Amino acid sequence: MSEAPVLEISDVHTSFGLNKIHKGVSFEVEKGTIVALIGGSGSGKSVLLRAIIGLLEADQGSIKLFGTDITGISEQGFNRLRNRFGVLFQNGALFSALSVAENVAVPLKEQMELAEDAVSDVVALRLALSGLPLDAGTKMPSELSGGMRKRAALARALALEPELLFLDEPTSGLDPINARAFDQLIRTLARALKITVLIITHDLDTIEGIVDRVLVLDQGKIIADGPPAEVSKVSHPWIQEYFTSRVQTKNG
Amino acid sequence: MTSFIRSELKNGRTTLLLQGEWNIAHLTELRSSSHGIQIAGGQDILIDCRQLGAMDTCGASQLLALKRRLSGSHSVQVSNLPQNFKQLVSLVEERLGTQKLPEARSLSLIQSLGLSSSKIFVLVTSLIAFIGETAFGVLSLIKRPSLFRWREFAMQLKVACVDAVPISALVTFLIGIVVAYLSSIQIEKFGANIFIVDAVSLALARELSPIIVAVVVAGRSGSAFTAQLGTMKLNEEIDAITTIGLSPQQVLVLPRLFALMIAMPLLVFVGDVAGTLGSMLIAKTSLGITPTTYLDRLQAVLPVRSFMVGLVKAPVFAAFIAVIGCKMGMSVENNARSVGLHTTSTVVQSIVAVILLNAAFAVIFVELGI
Repeated sequence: MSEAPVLEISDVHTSFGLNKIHKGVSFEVEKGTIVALIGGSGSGKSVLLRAIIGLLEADQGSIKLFGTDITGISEQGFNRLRNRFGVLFQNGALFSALSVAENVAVPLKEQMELAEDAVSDVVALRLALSGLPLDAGTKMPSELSGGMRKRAALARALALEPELLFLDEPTSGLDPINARAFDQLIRTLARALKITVLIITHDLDTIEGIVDRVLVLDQGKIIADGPPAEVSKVSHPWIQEYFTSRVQTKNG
Repeated sequence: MTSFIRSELKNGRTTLLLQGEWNIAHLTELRSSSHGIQIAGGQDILIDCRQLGAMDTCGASQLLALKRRLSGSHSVQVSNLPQNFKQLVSLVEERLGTQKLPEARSLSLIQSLGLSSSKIFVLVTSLIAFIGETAFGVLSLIKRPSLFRWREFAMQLKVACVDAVPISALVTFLIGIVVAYLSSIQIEKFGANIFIVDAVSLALARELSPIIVAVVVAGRSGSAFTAQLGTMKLNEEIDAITTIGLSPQQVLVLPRLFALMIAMPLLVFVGDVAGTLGSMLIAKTSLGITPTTYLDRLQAVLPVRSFMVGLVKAPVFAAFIAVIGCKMGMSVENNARSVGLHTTSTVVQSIVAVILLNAAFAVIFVELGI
């Protein structure tokens, strides 16, 4: 049984002034897969993410989330979609004036009508699922280490049981042990909760460890698409350099 | 409303048939149906998930909570849980278990009063320490004048002085108008029109112009110092300055301090002039005193001493505003919110300091007979 893709992007063009970022990006993300979007710095990965989550409007092309085209959608219509996806921003984007538990509670309080104790139960569940000790809930974001901050941000992104999760550089700034633990967490949650995940990353270990499919963005287009093992064999200078970067530095 | 749990009693055994979608969208109903289940003790209970339509982590934790609650007094079994939900339930059980979110610390009125009082104490002692450090910085600058950062000083002087002229002039001009207008109403009753000059010029030169300009400077420059240094602290720029072998004190604090101490008296003078112009306007329109008469009278009745009192206070106010602004900037904590809090605090502290200093000056000048 094949379901409609969760995310469908076709022929998307974006630009900043005269600077063209995307020149016709097209891809689909199937339900339940973990997809990585890679590309050099400045290739427009984050811009594409901003376009998908509605923070930026594409010049041309269509972006369909859960089968609904978001180009030219009303704010109200988009808000209904917003409850169905979660975003983990690069630096967590936790609200610094609120404690961790309050941060996780924000989407629950704003988007759902839940009693106070129901909210605190869901918050506890989210923190536990993200691998945080529950007493971290009373801390302020500034009191957390980098790894814990990412987990707290993941707990907030998961608050409303999203079907689709966007992760912007989830392992950047983490030590390898924490980074691999975070990868494992994402994989466990994605499998158990049946979440579709789109990861923007530079981390080769994440790609080789947990990703089903890799998309490579270069010169404003998708230049390779497939399982990591296949994409690593594509003969394109940037892709080759990327997948052999570890070996090169070791031998160089 | 569909019921999420159907209870059936058969052969001394209760079967709880779970139905519908056990997910976050139905969490409130789920919780109330689950709490509504009360079963007399001693029975065996079977939780049957055959008809479960959907389940997410919230549903899974409700199932676990129900099972746990009933397990206290019954023997409970869960059956027919579909494989994909089983994984979810065991993940939730493993991660969450019986943990509860700890209560957030909340302080009583007395506690928060005590806390903010002790914070004031810490604030004052750390301010004194910072003043001491700055004084040492000035000493080492006197020993080695080549340390002085002329470029930074000139830039700060432009921003703190030249750019502040319009707003200081506007505010004191309006204050001059208000004071002159209020005085003119009283003075007119006695027919002592010309005394408006005595009253307004003395008030402006000695008190109003320095205070008003100090408030403007605290809001403009003091807060800017905190925001600038705070952002630099956050961005580790201050650590970088130290690492390169420079003193943040010399590079950042002293140029700002001296710039503000020079800017303030100049701004107070601007304020004196603008305030006088404002009161001249009212004297002419309300009391019929021509500007020439006004200036004549001004020369006769305003002692240079009173004018100087205002100008002497200005650099002292400026020094405190600059030190408070820089100190609050340097002590920003490692989060963006702290920059905002410290900036607000700078303005409040500066205005309080200026008013305290002004009171001290009033007493000193009276004692000295100035």
